[in-house]
Order: sequence, then C-alpha cells, then structure tokens
Amino acid sequence: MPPVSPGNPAHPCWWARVRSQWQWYGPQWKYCLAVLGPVCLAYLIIRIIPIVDTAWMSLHNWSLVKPVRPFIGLDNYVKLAGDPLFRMALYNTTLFAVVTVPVTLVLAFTVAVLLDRPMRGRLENVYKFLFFLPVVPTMVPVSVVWKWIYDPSYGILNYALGFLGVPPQGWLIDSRLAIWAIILMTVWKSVGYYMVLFLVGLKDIPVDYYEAAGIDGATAWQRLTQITIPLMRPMLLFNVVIATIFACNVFAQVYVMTEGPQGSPANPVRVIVMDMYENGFRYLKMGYASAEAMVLLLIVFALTVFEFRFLRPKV
Amino acid sequence: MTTWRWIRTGIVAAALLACLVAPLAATAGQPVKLTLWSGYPEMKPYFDAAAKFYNELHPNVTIEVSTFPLRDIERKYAVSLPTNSGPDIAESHIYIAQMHIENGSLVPNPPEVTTFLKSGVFHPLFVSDSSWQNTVYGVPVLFSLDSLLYNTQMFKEAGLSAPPKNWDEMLSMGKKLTKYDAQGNVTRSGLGLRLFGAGSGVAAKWWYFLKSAGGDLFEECTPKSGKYRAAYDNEAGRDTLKLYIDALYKHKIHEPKLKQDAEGFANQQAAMFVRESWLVGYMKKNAPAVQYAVAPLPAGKKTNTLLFWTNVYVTRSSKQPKEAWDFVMFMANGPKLKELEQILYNTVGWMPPRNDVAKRHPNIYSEVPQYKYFAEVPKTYELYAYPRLAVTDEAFTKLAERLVKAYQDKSLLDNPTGIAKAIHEAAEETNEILKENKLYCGK
Repeated sequence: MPPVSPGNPAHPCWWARVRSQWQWYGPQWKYCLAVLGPVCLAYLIIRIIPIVDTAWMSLHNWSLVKPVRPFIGLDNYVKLAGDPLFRMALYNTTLFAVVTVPVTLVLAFTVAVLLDRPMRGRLENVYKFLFFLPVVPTMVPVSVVWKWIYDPSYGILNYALGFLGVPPQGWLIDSRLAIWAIILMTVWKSVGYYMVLFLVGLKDIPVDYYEAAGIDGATAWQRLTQITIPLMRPMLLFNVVIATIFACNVFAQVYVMTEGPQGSPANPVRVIVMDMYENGFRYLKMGYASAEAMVLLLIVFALTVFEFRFLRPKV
Repeated sequence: MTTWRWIRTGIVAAALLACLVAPLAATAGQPVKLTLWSGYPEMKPYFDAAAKFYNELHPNVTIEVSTFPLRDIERKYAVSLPTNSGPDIAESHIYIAQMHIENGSLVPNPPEVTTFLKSGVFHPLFVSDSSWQNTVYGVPVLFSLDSLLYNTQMFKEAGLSAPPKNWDEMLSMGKKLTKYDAQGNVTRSGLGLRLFGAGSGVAAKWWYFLKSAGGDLFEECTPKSGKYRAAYDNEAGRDTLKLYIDALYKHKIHEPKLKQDAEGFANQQAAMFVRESWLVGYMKKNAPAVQYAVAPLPAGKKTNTLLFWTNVYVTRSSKQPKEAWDFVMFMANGPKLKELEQILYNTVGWMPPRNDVAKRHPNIYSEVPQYKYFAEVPKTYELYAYPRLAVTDEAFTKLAERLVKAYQDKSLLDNPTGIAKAIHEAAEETNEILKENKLYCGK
C-alpha cells in the first residue's frame, strides 16, 4: 500500500502525491523506466514520428524534387476519393486480403491439425519442413521463381496443365488471371508460417481434454469444434490480425511480377502500396503518396480493432 | 650586406613559391574518389574501362561505377539528388534528367565543355535538346536511332528479300512471317510488339508508331509558350491504336503469350521488332547464332525515327566537381577515346555519339553491319527526340496502362468508335497531368 491515498488531505497537491508514490514505488518505477524507456523511445523514433511526419506531408503538395511544398489542407484526400487508380488499388487490395487471409489460415490450420500428431518414422517433421520451406526465402526471389513458373511459353505450370489438356494460359499477362496468380503464390508462400504458429498453439492444449472427450465418446469433429478451436482463439486472433496486416501491405510480389516486358500489366494487379510507391517514387508526389499511406493506416487500424472485437476470446 | 640581402630575398621567394605550390601539390597527390551511377547495366564495361584508363593517368583518382536497372535508378536519383546524397556523376536520359535540372540537382556545363559540345563534334539535336533556359547540361555518352530489327533467316524462309518500308508492307510481311500451329495459334510472331509490363515502356514503343503516324505525346500550343496539350487525340492516335489492334486480332501476327521485346527476338519467337542498338550487344551475348539485320523504321504518314541518347551529368552532390568534369571530358574527348568507343561497339552495343567516329573506326559497318541503320539517318528521315517535360514519364506510364487495357480488348477490332473513345480518354488523362503541373494550354 502506498502511504498516501489520492484523497489524503495531507498531500493536496498532485505533484506531492506523485513524489510520494515515486518514493514508495521508486525501485519498481525505475526498473520499468529502464526496461521500457529505450523500447518506447525506439518506437517513438521509428514508428510514431514517421507516422506524424507522413500525416503532415499528406497535407502538402510535397514533391520529392521541388523545394517549394505548399500547404494544401485536405486536397490530397479529396483527390484520392476521385482517383480511379486509387479505387482500383483499393479494390485489388481488398480482394487480395479477402481471399488470401481466410484461404491461407484455413489451409495452415488444417495442415497444423493434421501434423500435430506423431506419424510413423517421425514423418510429421518432414512434412513440417516441407510446408515451412517456402517461408525461408524472401518474397523477391520467390516472386522471380514464380514469374518463371507462370511464364506462358516456358513455364512449368502451363507445361503441367498441358498433360490435363488445359491450353496454355497467360497467367500474368491476362488481366483476369493476374491477381489470382499472385494470390496463389502468396498463399503457397504463407501457409507454412501460419502453420508453425498454429502448431505452437496446438501444443499448448492439454492432452487431458482430448482424453476426457474421448472417454465421453466425442467424435473427432466434436473435439475439433468443442476443444481445439475454442482454445485456439487467441492464436487465431493473432494470426488473423497479422495476416490482414500483411495482406493490406502486399507489395514485393506485385512489384516483381509487373516488372519488365514479360511482366504483368500493372493496373489489374495494382494494390495500395504499389500505387503509393508509384506516386511517391515514380511521379515524385510524396504528399499524395503520404495521403494514401494515411488512408491505408486507417484501414488497417479499423480492421485490427474490428478483428480484436469479434475474435478475442470470450472470458 | 648585399649577399645577405640576396639570401633574404631568395628565402622569401622560396617561401612564397612553396605557399603557392604546396596546395596544388597536395591536391594532386590527395586521393579523390568519384562515384558514377548509370541506369544502363550493359554500360558497366565501358564506364569501368574509362575509370581504369583515367586512373592510369591520375593515380590519385578512383571512380566507383554502379549500375542499376533503369526503373531503379530513376527512384534512386529522385531520393538522392535533391538531398545532395547522389553520385558525383549521373548518367541519365534527358526526360528523367529534366526534373533534376529544373531543381538545380544537376549542374550546368562549364563554358569549356559547352564550347566543346557546340564545336560540331555532336549532332546539333544533342546540344539543343540538352539545353534548358539557354544553358547546356550534360555530355552525350551513348546514342542510337530506333530501327527495325528483322530475322534474315525467317525472311529468307518466307521468300522475302527486303525489309518493309511502310506500315502496309510491315503488316503484309508480318503475316507471311507468322507461324501457326494446327489449332491456328500463333507460334511465332511476324511482328513483335510490346504489350505488357508496368512502367512507361509500352507507351514509349507505341509512341514510335504514333510519331510515324504524325502524332505525338504532347504538342506546344504556341511556340515557346511553355504550355502543352496531348497530341494524340486525333487521326494519328486512332491509326496507331488500330495498327496494334489489327496486328493482334485481324492479321494475327503477334501472340501476347509469346516472349516479348528483346527476349522474344533473341528466342526467335518474333521475326521483326523495333529497338535501339544495344540489341547488338544483347544478341551477341544471348543469341549469337541468330541471323538478323537492321533497317530504318517503316514509314507511316511521316518518315521519321527517334534519336535516343543519354548524357552524363555532374551533380550538385559532387564534392569534387572539377575532377568530375575532367573525367566526363576524358570520356568524351580524352586520349583513350578510340579504345572506349571500341568497347561500346564490341561489348556494349550502344554507339559512340560523336560525329567523327568513322575516322577512328572506318571499318565498323563492314565488321558489324547492323550498326549502320542504328547510326546513319536516311536522307528522307526526320529525327525527333523524347519529349523533355518533367511530366513525360508520368504521362507515358499512365498512357501505357490504358494501352495495355486496350490491347486486350478484342471488341476494338473494326470498331472506330471504341478506338476513338479509348484514345480520347487516354488523352484526357494526359491533359489532366499537364493541368496538374500547370503546363496545360487548353484544346
């Protein structure tokens, strides 16, 4: 107990109360400050200040190469609302997120559940390794490899589909297929990552629950829906939030797959970060790109709040 | 006393001389490091050799050459030059350099460099189009005309003896050169066209044909007004889009699923296509067995071709501009000029930009006949350069996306209204870009 309660008339001044608490809790406060201070400072420098700076830039006609950057209020945001390329990017990003997040997570969860059991000859570890393998290389080399896989003339995908009688497809050059080709590659690359996270969650569920359910005659489906899924809610929430953030920030694979004469047309796969990059670093309109970044921040923030609200474990 | 006076005078003179010479000697001996960036990776052997030759003459000066893909370097310049963190020497095409010239990131040429450029050593267009507000910026380092490359073996097989001279011949020869499988799918394009890929490339390639048709990306409303409008919402623009749509869907002489551009030509998936001389180096490296020749661009309503070149600029970032200019002039007019030009011809494929190159390489066209039409302008041909407004890249890139969409729209075949609409909407967007940058003059 601190010696002074907030309402103690002996110390009417708030500063005196703080000082008194500091004296009482001193070592704990100092420890907290010492441990959290650098982290908070780093967070302030690499996150908060750039965000505030971006918000400030978004209110200016900020060209990367022009020294004069007049204040224009919300003009960039007004222009964004009427920009067909931004709307296209918003649509594609939404489509990308709406498809990749559930498909990836359902696949990852299914694989994790299937591999969360001992197999003959410890085969489960081989499968885990194989599923995790695509996560190891970074997105750029993986995208380059998939660009080759999707190549309409020499790509292995068309070659394989040829055996099934499917005619060669322009996976990246056909406007209708391009976004789906990128979604497929992203799902393939991400499943292993979420699988590992789900496996960690599954390991935390006590075996006793399943044994008790087995004694009570619960089927495998009932064990999954009544034990596994409810107890995995915190991990599920984490994965949904992370996957949504990643999906909204999709860029590298789109950039690589649209690059060069054999690349995909850009507009059918234009996503928000790509549009932001084009406006910022190609057309040098940093103010406009910053406005897009702020809109994306708000979208991701709103989605995260929404996901926390609906997916957090019910106590 | 007199002797002492002489000694005293001698000491003072020696001290004064030492004061004058010491800084020079120190500078001469001090290590100097220059950086050079280029957006043309194939130019690395040339710049490396120039750096090596220069270092042999000036052992204290080292030049670090870095090359990047074109799109990457445009971004690198955009973030580094305005903040004075760029290289000492930047190689760039004029339409990318223009914005950096306008904001002072690239410095004007010293008078002696300008005098050299204007001495008749270079084509006048190099100098006039490298000037802004009566000041010349940069020194040309490579050049090429845009020309038609055609596979001579395929021409022979198709019974064709000469390249096309105009659009009609190009389409009819394209048909003869195209190969189809049993299902009627194109397995070899008669005419390779650039249809995809992000960036400005698709529009730039379309623009060559637009220029032949008599159109342009922009036109200045009245001479020297500094105000512009899109110059393709007209018959030329519609004809050019129709040319592509007809090639794809009526004559079926190009297949989008085949490799495009240089890769398609090198893989023998295209019989003809339009490009610059760097293809000579590319083909030598990647497809030495392919037999090809080069011809002037087939004429549309106009007989013209693009004069493409890049300049090397000294940047405001440079801490040693004197040495940087000295190196630039070493490349343009130094004692190793012939050797450097030889590297361009033998390894790189881009061509030396000086007019007097034939004096030093009299046999180049007999050794590499492909260079002839990349270098020599036929008498009837008019030359033009890239538009040099700072918004050119944005206009090209946005036009490219509209063209990509149009190329995939089969309903545009025999649909003049659809073509006119597509062209009009694209031109409106170009005008919007001009408006946004206060460069628009109205219709």
